[in-house]
Amino acid sequence: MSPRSSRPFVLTAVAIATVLGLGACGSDSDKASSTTGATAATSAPTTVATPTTVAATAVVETTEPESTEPATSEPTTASTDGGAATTVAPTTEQPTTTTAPDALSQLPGVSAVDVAVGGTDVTRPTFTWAPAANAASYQLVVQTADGVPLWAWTGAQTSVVLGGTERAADVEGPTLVGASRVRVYALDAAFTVVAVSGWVALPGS
Amino acid sequence: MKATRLAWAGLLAVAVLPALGADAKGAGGPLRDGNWAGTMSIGATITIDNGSAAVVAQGSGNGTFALNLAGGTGTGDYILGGSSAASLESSNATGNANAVIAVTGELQGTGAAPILSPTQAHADVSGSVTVNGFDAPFDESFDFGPDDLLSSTLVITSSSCTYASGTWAQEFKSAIQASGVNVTSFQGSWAAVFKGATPGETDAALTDILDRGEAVLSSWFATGTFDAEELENVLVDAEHFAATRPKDEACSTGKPGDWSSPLAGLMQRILLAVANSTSTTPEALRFGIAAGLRTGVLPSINDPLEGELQNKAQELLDLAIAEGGTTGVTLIKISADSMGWTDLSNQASAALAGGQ
Repeated sequence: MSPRSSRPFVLTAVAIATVLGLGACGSDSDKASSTTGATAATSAPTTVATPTTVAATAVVETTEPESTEPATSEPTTASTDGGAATTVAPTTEQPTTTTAPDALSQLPGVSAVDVAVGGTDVTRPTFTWAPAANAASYQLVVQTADGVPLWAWTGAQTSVVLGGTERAADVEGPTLVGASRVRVYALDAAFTVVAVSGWVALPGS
Repeated sequence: MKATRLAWAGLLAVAVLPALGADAKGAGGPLRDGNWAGTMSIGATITIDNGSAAVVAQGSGNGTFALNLAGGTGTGDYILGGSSAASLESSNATGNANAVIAVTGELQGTGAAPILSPTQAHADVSGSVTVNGFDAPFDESFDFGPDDLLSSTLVITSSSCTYASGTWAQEFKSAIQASGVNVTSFQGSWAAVFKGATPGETDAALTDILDRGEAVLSSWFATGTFDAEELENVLVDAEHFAATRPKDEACSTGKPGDWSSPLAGLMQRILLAVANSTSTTPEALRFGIAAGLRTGVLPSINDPLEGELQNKAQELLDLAIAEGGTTGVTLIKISADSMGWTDLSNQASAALAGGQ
């Protein structure tokens, strides 16, 4: 094949392979056919770039994860700075936050956020808080009472229902099935923490 | 042209991959019997650089599938359309090629590992190459049969009574890498809705959500720009979509808290990238973990994702402490508190207390 004909061929082959996945090495099928959920999960992109929320950054080479060792999920112990919580009646919207200080709340310039828990469905409550000074976004985290993570949310609003949107009772979605707790963090535009709540206890169902 | 065809035959001869085994079990558990209507997306960036010439290609595609499961055995069909653009750079030549590709195939396998088994594909490729000032345009069409094409397992990240999602096309990456091509990224996501006893159309809204999520991820890989705002919009739309469909009455065995996000497969890929990129920042980690919890991908069970994220968090915390700033430490503490990583949270607290 002449150079002039080989170059279109290479371009053509690569263009098609990029969508169809045409390649070589038939033996690879055996490897692929035994792929489990765990091993497939390690097929992460080998090159990624910084996932910033503001501007483009340079693409940085990374190492493709090879480990198939199952990770141990042990998020069962609450942080030592969480403090005791106060049980909240889910149909009211009274601010009910914990008072125990922690490392974040004691930082200079960090104020307190009071989280109110409302809604008619105790298993899918609505969380509301007052806007914090200089806050550009918030993060809300829901865990079981003993610290197992259940759900989280990020956004600029100051109210959110568990699951992100109202759902009928027969629609699946994040649902509290026991004693749980919630906490809200407020961040400014530079992602500096400007306010934080304590853990607020949720009765669940 | 004859030489090109011969080269194609050679390439395809080694690209033949048989239908994959049906034993693979997804991390999210098997799909239940009945009809599922789904959508799938794919994004890829591959490069060839032999020192004197470099070819870079980017492609994307999407499609729909209808899967029927009876007694755990899958049947059905799918269509996939895609396009790609390749460019060539060398000392004396430049070129480009654009391909439009259509694939049809069958669904096989089991509820634990449905398999996309292609039956035919057609590609139209056009472009031009300029060598030493001489321009040579080309415009060709190619047809492929089942023996030319790769099968792919729909790996299940998450499944419930109503929704299921996961990843696919892992096999493509392996096959291309085996041929000596550098694969920057080559993986897809899928999502499906349970339709009950009778087949149904794939929801256009679901296709839109997955396509937009794939675009965020593809842009990140290709340009380094991570559009967190758009991803947050996609997350909101996915939650609104998921809220529209009541649970099927026949699925009474599910526990009250059982649910699955249509974006779980895509989020798993994003989190794997967050965990394994050397350029992940504390803010990216915080955002990713929150999104992972929001879609139910975290906490992860039976896969290494959570451990890899925790390792990344520890690495970032050590770096933040060494640099002496508080913002990175606080963001990692939020991530650790969110995940219940007590040791890491306490390390961050100690660093913050010591820094005041």
